[in-house]
Amino acid sequence: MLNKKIYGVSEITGFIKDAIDNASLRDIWIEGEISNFRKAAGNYFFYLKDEFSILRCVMFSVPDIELKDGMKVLTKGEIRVYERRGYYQLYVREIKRSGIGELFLKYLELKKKLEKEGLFDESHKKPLPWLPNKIGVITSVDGAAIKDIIKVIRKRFPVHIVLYPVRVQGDGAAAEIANAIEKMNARKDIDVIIVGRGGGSWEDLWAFNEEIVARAIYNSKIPIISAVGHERDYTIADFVADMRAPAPSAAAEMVVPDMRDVEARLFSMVARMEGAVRNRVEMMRGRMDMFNEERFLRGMKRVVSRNEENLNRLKEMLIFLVKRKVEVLRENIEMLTRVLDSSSPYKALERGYAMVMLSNNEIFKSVDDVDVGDVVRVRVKDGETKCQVKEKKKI
Amino acid sequence: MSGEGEEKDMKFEEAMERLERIVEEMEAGDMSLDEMLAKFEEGMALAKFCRNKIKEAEMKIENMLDELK
Repeated sequence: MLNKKIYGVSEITGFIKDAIDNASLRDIWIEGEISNFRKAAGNYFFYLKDEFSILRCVMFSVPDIELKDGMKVLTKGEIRVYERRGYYQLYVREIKRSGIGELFLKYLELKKKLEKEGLFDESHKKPLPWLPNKIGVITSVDGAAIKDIIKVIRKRFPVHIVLYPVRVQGDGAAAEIANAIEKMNARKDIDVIIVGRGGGSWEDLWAFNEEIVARAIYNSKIPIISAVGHERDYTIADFVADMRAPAPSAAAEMVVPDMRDVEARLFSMVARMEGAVRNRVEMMRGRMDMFNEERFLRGMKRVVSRNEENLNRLKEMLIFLVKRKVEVLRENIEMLTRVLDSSSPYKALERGYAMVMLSNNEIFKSVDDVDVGDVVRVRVKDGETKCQVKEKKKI
Repeated sequence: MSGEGEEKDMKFEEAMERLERIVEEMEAGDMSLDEMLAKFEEGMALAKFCRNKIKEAEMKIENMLDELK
């Protein structure tokens, strides 16, 4: 008895800690039922239990789901010893509702595999066209997704939609989706594809986590937007797609520009071209003033009076040259003015629109462009007014 | 107007990009008068082309399965 070694409490706890650390209980998944849940100082404490045992758990980050006693969950984390208190516990890093446990593990496995293979690589992602002529849509005809997509595209920029109806859940859905992607690629006239469905449970969305869909998206020559309606989790399809939209309506917003924005941009570019020509006219007017005949003659007279006989002929010649130069400039200005008038961008003004210009001749497009008190020029069909900004308000 | 025929096949996106380039070149201002007028005319034709495209835009919905039947 006396020759037996006597341990200190922390010493023996240290041994236990080492033993558990050496067991490599890291990144493990544990399933169980929550009990004694409580939240303190921003941390979450609970036990996981099953029929025979309980396991103390702590979580330092905010869980993705609302935790409650009695809830079946799947947790991921590591087991360590808390030396001060002399117990071991699970440090939880991820927590999911159980029941989807098996599917979820399958998802993680496939995600890892495809990521390694490079299916998610940014370098493989294709840019979306700015304005597609034909948009392929792969979804169910019965769901809300197709209605949302049509509604948004019609409002923003109506174009040609090619629908390939598929089942989006249940047995065979994944194969139908993959097949539709291939068929659309075979057509050669489709510029971009939206593939998706409205929100649903993890099981409902499962088709979008299947390898066959992931590979079809990866192999598509046509850029693909994934649009699976769900809040937090990404599907495998989202990772492979060239662009991910959080919902079908959001995909429709990405796929076409708003025609009102495009019109405004066109209007501004035409006004800028006109401004450039106008500047050119002003520049030439200035040059013409330099050739003001009177001023020129006054200067000439001084020279001529000194050397009248010899310079008489030179004088005639110079006047002729100057007059010609002025003539050419005048013709140019007339031509520019004609061109401006004949292809004026102000057609819209005839329909009752007004164009507002800032003092630097830029188009007034945003309330940020002006301050109260600034003067702006308002151009309407038959003329121009100067108006002062009395008030500004952002909408 | 030059190139009316070739613009028929042009994509809207290309037309917008070309127009943007023309505007920038014209604003830079270092070109002859003839060049400037040519650019202006081309730019106006492009703007007209784009406006027409917007005006003509309409939605068509085609069901690929109907076609396959």
